[in-house]
Amino acid sequence: MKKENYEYLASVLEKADTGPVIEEKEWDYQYIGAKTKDLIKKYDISWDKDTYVPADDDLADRLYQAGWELALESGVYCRNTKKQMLWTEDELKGIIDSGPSELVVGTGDDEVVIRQRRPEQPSRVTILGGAYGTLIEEDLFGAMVEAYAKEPLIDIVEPPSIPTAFGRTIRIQSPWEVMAARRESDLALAAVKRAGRPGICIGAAATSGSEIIELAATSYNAYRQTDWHHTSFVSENKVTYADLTRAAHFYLTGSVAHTFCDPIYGGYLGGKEGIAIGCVAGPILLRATLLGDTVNAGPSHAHLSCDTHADLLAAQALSFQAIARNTHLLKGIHIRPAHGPGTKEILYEVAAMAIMGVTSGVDYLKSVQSACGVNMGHTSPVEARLCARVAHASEALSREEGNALVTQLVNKYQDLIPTADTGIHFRDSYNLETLEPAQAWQKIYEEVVSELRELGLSI
Amino acid sequence: MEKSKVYDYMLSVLDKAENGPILEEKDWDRQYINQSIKDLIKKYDIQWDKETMVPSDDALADRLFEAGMELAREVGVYCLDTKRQMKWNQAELDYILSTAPDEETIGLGDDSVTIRHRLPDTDADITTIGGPYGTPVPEELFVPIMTSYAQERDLDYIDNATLSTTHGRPIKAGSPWEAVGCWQEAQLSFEVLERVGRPGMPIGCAEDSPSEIGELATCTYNGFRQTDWHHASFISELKVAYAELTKAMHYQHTGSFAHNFYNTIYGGYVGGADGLAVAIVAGVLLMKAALNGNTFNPGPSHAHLSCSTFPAMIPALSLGFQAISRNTKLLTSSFPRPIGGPCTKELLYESAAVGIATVPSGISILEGIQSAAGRIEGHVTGLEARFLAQVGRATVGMTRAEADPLVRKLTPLYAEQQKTGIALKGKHFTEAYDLETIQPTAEWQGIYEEVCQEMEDMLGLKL
Repeated sequence: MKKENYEYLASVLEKADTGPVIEEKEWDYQYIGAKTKDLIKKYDISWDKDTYVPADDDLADRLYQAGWELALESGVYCRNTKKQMLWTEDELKGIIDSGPSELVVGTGDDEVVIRQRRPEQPSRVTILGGAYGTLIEEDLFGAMVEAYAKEPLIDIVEPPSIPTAFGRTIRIQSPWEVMAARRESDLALAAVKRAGRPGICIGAAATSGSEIIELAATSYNAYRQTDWHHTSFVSENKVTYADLTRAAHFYLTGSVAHTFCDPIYGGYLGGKEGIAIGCVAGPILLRATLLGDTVNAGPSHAHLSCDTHADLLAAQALSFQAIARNTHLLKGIHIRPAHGPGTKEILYEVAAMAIMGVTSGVDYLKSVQSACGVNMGHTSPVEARLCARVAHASEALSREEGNALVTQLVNKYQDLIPTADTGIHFRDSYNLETLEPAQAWQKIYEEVVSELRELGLSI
Repeated sequence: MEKSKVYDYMLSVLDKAENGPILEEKDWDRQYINQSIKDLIKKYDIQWDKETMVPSDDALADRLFEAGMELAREVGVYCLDTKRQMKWNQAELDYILSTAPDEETIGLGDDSVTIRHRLPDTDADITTIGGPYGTPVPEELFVPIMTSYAQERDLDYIDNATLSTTHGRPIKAGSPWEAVGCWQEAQLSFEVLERVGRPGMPIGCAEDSPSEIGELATCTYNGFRQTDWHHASFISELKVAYAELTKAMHYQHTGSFAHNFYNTIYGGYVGGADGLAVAIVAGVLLMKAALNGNTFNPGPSHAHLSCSTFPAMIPALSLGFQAISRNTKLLTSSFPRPIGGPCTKELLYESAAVGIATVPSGISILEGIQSAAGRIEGHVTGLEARFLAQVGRATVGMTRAEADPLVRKLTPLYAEQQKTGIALKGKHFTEAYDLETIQPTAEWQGIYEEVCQEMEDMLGLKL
């Protein structure tokens, strides 16, 4: 992938070094909190609280204007320099317009194309499946990646994280990050090869660290330029040198760059209306700052961590619609349910998010950071398989139809979120020899598929 | 990647940085380095006639090797980030030294070069490298300056200058600018190689990477190649930072050619010339042990003048190389860092002295020149590197005994002037070279030719 606008890249880094100096507290309260409140009022951002997939195009467009204004007037805060990074309207328009509307990832027979979609557009969504950085024991990492890669409906694999490299602790900002980078990439590449999909795009690097791990992993004999390389914001709309360094590395090496942010519900953005604005401004600024080829705003509940909470659904749906109707940015939904593998509720949460996202115009689904990704090994490919099936079954649905289904699903899990069952470990949910779901988990999956059919989904 | 025995070994190196005994840096400098070296000088009787510039005493060279090996084994390396002493037992040191091949090929296609282990007094050819070695240069002059080196056919490959800025902005260490700066360095270097028709020539890199970021960011797709000459180093004395271990592991993983260097300091904790000699040997052994490179350079630097050409340092350097050459297969390089800058005769005398002293001492590579000690922006040219390569090749086949009187004749030509330091900085590239033709000015060419003639008349060296 040729990326050669070095002057723009340099101008972004320059903003981080020369913008106005601001205290972080002021950023949080004034530039995010107060500004978002004003924008909610100015653009009349409100909706019926019982609607989960709104179908109001005018509201979606007003939301886009509000998000655009937040992006334009507040910009991004660089934590290392304490500087505000600001873009002019022309700069922002230029960089948003320069984003791809379709993107080829992976290689050879395993290549896939992520294409822009609009709300209610009956075109195929791309499915990403994986553990999204949820920790897994080093000795099970390869098996887990292979199990995801074996799922035929998964287009891109996103690995779990390893807590150790060769049995040693991965100390941040140390040479152990380089060891982890190589360990993860070696294991992941071997796993997809075993699954018969050597060219499949892999989300990289999944093991968290500083910029070292990404720089070391995107190199000779490791992750490829055609893999899906990550860099992100810190909430809200803050960036670090480490993420700018990653972004520069992906740009300079011509690697596919995926950028994400996690607006916090109940944080400085406020409630669901503020989250909706944050979910529009975030992707605009991710593209502007980190030059993402794909963007994702995956909100988190301040206390529950999940993004499947009823209050968050409509906010996300509207933000996808706003972006899909007003840009060609490649945006996705990140599914982070409260429940874990082996429970019916995780499948309800996943299905609700998939239907909401697909009918609202997302281009790809990131599935599934089960049990919010906080329990080691509590993820399995079954929930990603369900996501893929529900997503493809929803491609022809309208937002109204989607809303009706989501409403029924939310009723099945919403009250259980605060005490969510985090489910079972991969070694219990899967047969580690065959890499197939254990009988009990398969049965639950099949029961939920039947329930979804009964609800009216053609799955 | 299959986990090999060497990979297991490298894991054990990182373990040493995490688990070794905790020491205060002050104790390291004073006790572990200074006191140990003093004891070893006495124990192994490390001394020589102060008039001798190129000793030919094999027994002394072998005692020096024993002293250096004992320092390496008993003291090891200090990890600055963890404040831990990294220690190797003799079996571990023997193992990693045994993995070193006696020749390595670097570069691509017709521009590849084979670096060979050489013994003292041998007539085997040397490898020559030329460049400013991290001397800062203005962004717009990077290509002409590097072209002045790359076009020299006497040079087998080049080592880069450091960009003073990238895209007009300062290169802030540890920031994204480091990635951008090193990337620009890589792209400009490739432009230079294309310009001189040597696309596969190895490049010493990255010279804009004060932290690990620049190296990691450019030793990758579309950046510097595995066949380039990637750097990781020690800090004086025998200290290593996480950043350098990170670079070393990255080269291991990517299968990149790695060069390790270290500047032991004359007049610092190692003491005088005899201590310097011990540290040079230990440094090379420990760089292999800790950073596992393919080639090794032990500096050294004068504490106040920054150069490596100070007369008293030359026999230490010569003996250090002899000790390593006679007792290992390691590929070492000699690196003249003169006080003199372009358009001064002293630059050429200083470089010739170190070149003539070290080629017969068994080095594999003669590299240079960090002119004006690398301290003055733009005070570097390809001509001095051509001169050094020519002197080196003319010295091949000479014995140490034959080289000694030549070096003795050269050192008085600059010894007094050298003490004036910056006064010898010479001229900027723009004053020493024609920027259109990338050829030396008449003045600089005249000085060069005059000194070449002196080499023939005074030393019998035909360049």
